[in-house]
Amino acid sequence: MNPNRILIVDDNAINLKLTRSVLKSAGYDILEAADAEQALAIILQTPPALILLDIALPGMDGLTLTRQLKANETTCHIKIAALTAFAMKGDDQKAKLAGCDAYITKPIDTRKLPGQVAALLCVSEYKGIQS
Amino acid sequence: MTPKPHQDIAPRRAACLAGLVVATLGASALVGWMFDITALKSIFPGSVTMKINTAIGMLLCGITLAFISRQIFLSATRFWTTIVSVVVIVVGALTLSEYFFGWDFGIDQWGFQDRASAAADLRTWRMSPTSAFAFLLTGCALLTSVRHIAPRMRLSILAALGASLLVIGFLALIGHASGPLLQARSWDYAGMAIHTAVCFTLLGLALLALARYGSELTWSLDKATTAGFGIGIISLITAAGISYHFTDQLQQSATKVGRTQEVLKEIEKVTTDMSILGSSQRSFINTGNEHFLEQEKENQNALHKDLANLRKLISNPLQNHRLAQLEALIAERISWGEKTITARRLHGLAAAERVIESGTGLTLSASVRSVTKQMEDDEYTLLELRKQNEEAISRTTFLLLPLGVFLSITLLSLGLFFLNAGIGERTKAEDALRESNENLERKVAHRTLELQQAKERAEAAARAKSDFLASMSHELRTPLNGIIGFSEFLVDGSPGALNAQQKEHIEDILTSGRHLLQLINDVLDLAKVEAGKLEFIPELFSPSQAIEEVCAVAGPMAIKKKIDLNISVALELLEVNLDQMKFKQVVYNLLSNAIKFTDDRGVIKINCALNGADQFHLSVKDSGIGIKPEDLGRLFRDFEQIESGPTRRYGGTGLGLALTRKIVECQGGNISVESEFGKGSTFTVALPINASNVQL
Repeated sequence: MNPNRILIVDDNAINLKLTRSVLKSAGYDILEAADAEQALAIILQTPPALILLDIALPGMDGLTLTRQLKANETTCHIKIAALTAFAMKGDDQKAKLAGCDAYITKPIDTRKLPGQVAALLCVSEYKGIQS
Repeated sequence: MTPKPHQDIAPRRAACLAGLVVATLGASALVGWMFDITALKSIFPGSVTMKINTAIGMLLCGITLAFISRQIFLSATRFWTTIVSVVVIVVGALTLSEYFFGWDFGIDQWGFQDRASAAADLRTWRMSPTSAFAFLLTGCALLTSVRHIAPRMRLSILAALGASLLVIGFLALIGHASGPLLQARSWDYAGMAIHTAVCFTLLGLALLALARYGSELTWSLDKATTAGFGIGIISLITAAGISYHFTDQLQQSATKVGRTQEVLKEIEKVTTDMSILGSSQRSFINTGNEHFLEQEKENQNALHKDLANLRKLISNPLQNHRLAQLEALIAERISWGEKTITARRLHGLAAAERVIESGTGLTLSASVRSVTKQMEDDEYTLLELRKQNEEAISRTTFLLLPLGVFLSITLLSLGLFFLNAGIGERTKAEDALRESNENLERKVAHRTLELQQAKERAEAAARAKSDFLASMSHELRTPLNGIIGFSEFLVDGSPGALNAQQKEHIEDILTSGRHLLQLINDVLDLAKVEAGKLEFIPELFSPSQAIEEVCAVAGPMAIKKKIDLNISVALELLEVNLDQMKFKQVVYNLLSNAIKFTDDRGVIKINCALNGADQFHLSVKDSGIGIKPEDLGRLFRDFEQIESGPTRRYGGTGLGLALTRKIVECQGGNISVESEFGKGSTFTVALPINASNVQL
């Protein structure tokens, strides 16, 4: 497993592109998926070290995907950060309950995101990060 | 009338007890008649007896009352009660008719004593008319209590009859008590015995108790009406007492007048007999015929009889004294007469003439006449006095009686009037109350339904609002992510260096994007405050440090406009216990507003100082455009910007101050503003030093 490989799941192509651009310039290997099914396929094929997962997705939503991944022995070690525009109170709790390791709200702070990602990749316990 | 278990059984017990006492008194009087025991017949020797009929009536009524007091009406109880009632009513009615029409049905003697002696004095045997009347009432009351009559009617009849019996018995008792108590002549109230009076009082009380038990009779008159009735009844009794007293006096006076007249008649007879006495004696002396002496003897006897009569009639000491004189004089005159007669017999006419000529007889006769004259005069004076007294009494009676009766009737009528008025008013008031209650209930039910619906609508609206806000927040943040993110990315030169102008424009996009994000956040915060969802987590922090941190963020804006930013925090304000994030938000909002509305090279002063022991002040003073007085009021409202429309020069969401005010107020503080248009404004926030001490 490549510790620099990050999977970005977002159905919004522009936002996907932004995250990818920011992290690519920070030196990460980026995989992309537009929905949960696509993401699952990639995860099984080339497991990433971290998934930046949008919650509102067409079809299976991000939280369901998180639960599945965290329930699976082979995928449970993959760090998952919810990267979502759901910034209302309680949304972070929902993400944590589903098994997310971090919760990052959109709009992202492009200046902080590489640091947040780096922190997630070396720190094992949950850390709530608000942009 | 079935017994109700929840009712107080005390009235029933009292009625039963009263019934048994009455029956016992009746039975004991009956025993008294059988064995001729005065103590049982009349209690006190010489006072009026309880008659046999009365005793039997009391026995029957008492037993019946004890039965009825159980308030369980078996057909046997009804039958027995009906029989007793009818018997008592018939006896009462017959006795009354005997009194009124002078008939004799032979119902009064019963054969305990022989009928001959019984017939001699009906007063010994016949119950008093008052007792007969009372029995009539008792019978009616007993009959009423077991017959099927509407409860309201039964209550009225029972209460009225019971009260009447009570009054009759009580009056009789007062009459009996007045003797020993007032040292007056005992007033035996039309011949009712003392234990009869007790019995009727008890019967009245028992009937009232039963009425109370059966229909929960209560005394519900107000004090004034009760007092009115009380005074009316008392004055009626007083009037009756006074009229009795005066009638009694009148009767006594009439008796005395009659006696005086008899005395006068007797005195006149004495005078007449005296004159006859002289004449027959003279005839004997003249003729010597012994026949005249027989006549003389008769005259003397007549005189003695007259004197004896007078002695019987006269009671006053003066007249008694005169009577003694008179007797002595007459005796002397008679003995003198005897002397002349003896002289005529022994010594002949001439000797008798001599005795007569001595003049002693004449002197004596004259003395007798003078004494009788005095007596007559005295009696006439007495008669005159008594007549005057009688007139005075009559006048008083005729004055007092109508007055008393009039007064009583007036008071009772007034009492009745007020009672009726009260009942009428109460009925009206009760009707009105009931109606208004029903209306109220309807209204309340209607309003409750309305409220319920409104609540459901409000809850649905709140849910919809919350859902809308969540989805709006999400939908706006998603494109903003691209706008802000790429702008930052470009400005930072990650994809490659930009020229100065490009960089400036991208920065403009970034600023606008951040402004839009702030707007979204403010809207969400405001919505949370309104929904009561905003949470405050107090922590200890240094306000001066917090203000400095805020200034570090907002500072670049001020520097850009060359604004002089002046911060002063009182030294003694070391720490406060508040939600630090919210405090910073307040400072930031006020400061950014001040910067926004202050022109280049202006001055902004932030001042933070203690205000009393529990509060501190934070004021932000600017030298900006100021606020017109008429605009001050709507300053802290949602979405209000003073300068709106096309002339608007300054950006901002218009939510900042509204949100600031809500944050401050939620922590138990307040915000105020002083401003002079064109010169600048000062916003002052008062906050508690320790938010955990504030009841929110």
